[in-house]
Amino acid sequence: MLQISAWRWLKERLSGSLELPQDVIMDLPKVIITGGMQLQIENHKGILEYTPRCIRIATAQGEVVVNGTRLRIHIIMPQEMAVAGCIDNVNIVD
Amino acid sequence: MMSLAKGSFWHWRGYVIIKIKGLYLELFINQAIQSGVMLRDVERLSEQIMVAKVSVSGFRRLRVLCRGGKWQLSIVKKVGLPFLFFRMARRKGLLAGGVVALLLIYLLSSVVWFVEVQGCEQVPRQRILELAAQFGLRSGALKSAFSGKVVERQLLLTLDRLSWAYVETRGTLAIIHVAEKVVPDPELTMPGDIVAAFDGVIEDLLVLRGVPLVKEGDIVRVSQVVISGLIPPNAPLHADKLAKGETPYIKAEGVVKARVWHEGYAEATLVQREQTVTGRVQRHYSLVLGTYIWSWKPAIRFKTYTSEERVYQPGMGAWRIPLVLTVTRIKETVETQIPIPEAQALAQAEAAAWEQVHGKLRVGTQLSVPGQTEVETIIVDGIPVVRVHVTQEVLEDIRQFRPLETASGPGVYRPVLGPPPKVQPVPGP
Repeated sequence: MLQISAWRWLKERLSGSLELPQDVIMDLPKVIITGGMQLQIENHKGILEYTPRCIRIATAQGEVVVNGTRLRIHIIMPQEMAVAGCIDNVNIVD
Repeated sequence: MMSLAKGSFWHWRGYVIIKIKGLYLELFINQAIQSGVMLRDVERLSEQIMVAKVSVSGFRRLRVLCRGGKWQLSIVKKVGLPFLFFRMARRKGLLAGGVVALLLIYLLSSVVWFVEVQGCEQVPRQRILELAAQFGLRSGALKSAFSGKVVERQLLLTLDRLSWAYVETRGTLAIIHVAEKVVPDPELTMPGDIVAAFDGVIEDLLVLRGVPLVKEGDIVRVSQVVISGLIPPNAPLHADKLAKGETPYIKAEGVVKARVWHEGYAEATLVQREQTVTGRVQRHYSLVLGTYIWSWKPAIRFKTYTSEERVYQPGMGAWRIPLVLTVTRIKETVETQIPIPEAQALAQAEAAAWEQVHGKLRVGTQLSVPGQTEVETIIVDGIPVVRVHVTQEVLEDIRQFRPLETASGPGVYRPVLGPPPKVQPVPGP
């Protein structure tokens, strides 16, 4: 059974009852995929691995793995980044 | 935030394309973004080499980051306006030339190089251009050296035929738009008299303009003045015209109906002579070669004959050899007389005579009484001939306008003054 901290539980309840955005309250990553060509991530914690075939991005919830070909980082900033290229699949790993 | 990454913004501020060489390039990226540096178009070329685009200020911060020696930073390319300006600053001659070119363009575009005139038909175009040049609008003049309003006003004041003028400037082209006054057709106001086109007796006289010199019942001759355009001396208009230096004459107008007798005459023979070919033929030959002519023309042995000529000139297409053969066929003819019924001849002559009369009638002429026909048969050269003389009385508008001729024209026309002249009576039917 997944251990969830009390603080996280409280944040979930608060954001749900007060209808506040979870990505802001709980620092969850927000992934936006445009076709199979571009992927935007908000609330990331840095790059774990970067190759033209695979990019692993750290998040508060785990990591986001992007697999594809000719991958490049279109833009990267402290909290946001965009990946471009031929994206085959995206996995969120806790 | 993503909108700040617009390419045009970076191009304006300037950016550099850098190459990063070393291990753990992911760590480099993380440390770069934690330092507040935004990286664009990051591409991993190999295990230890990566390229990226970074702003000029970001590059300075990255250099500090790489001081530890873990990564080697090098600039591949510098892109953007600041670098362009730095390059341009090293080429002062180019800069100076650019500035001079801009100045020249500005100066040259401040000059009017072409002047056009639109809308003139009667007024000579050259006259308008000369007038405009007098007030500063000419090819090569500065735009500040003339005023369009002044040119327009002077054109209207000087040229009476113009009703509107406007000067438009389009770059280095100045267009003078003009509109001319519409003047009435001079023929509508040409002074002159109404004269009689035929001999006749005035039946109805309607004077619209002018002074009548005849009255109903008067007999008039051809070219006699019926309505005069001369303004009487006691009329105020007479003095006005003289004061202006004009002839005291107006265009006489009116309707003049008179009884006129038109005549027609025609003849027709009662015997028709025809030349009949007998079949006997004689030939004449003529051969022309350049300037040499050979001919064989024996004496014609026929009393009456008709001839027919044929020309032969061999050649091909439009090209002909200078050798011409002319063959003249002379055919003997015999005169035969074919009698024509008198009724037929009379009908032909009458039709021809009436056609003459109808050809003289004007549109709208009324036939007041039936026409009269006189027939006479005479012998001319042994052939009986029918002569037909027809007369038709009509009620016709006999007016004809005769313009006043000035002394410079062909001859001098003196206006008719006073009572009409006494005329001999016209022989009626």
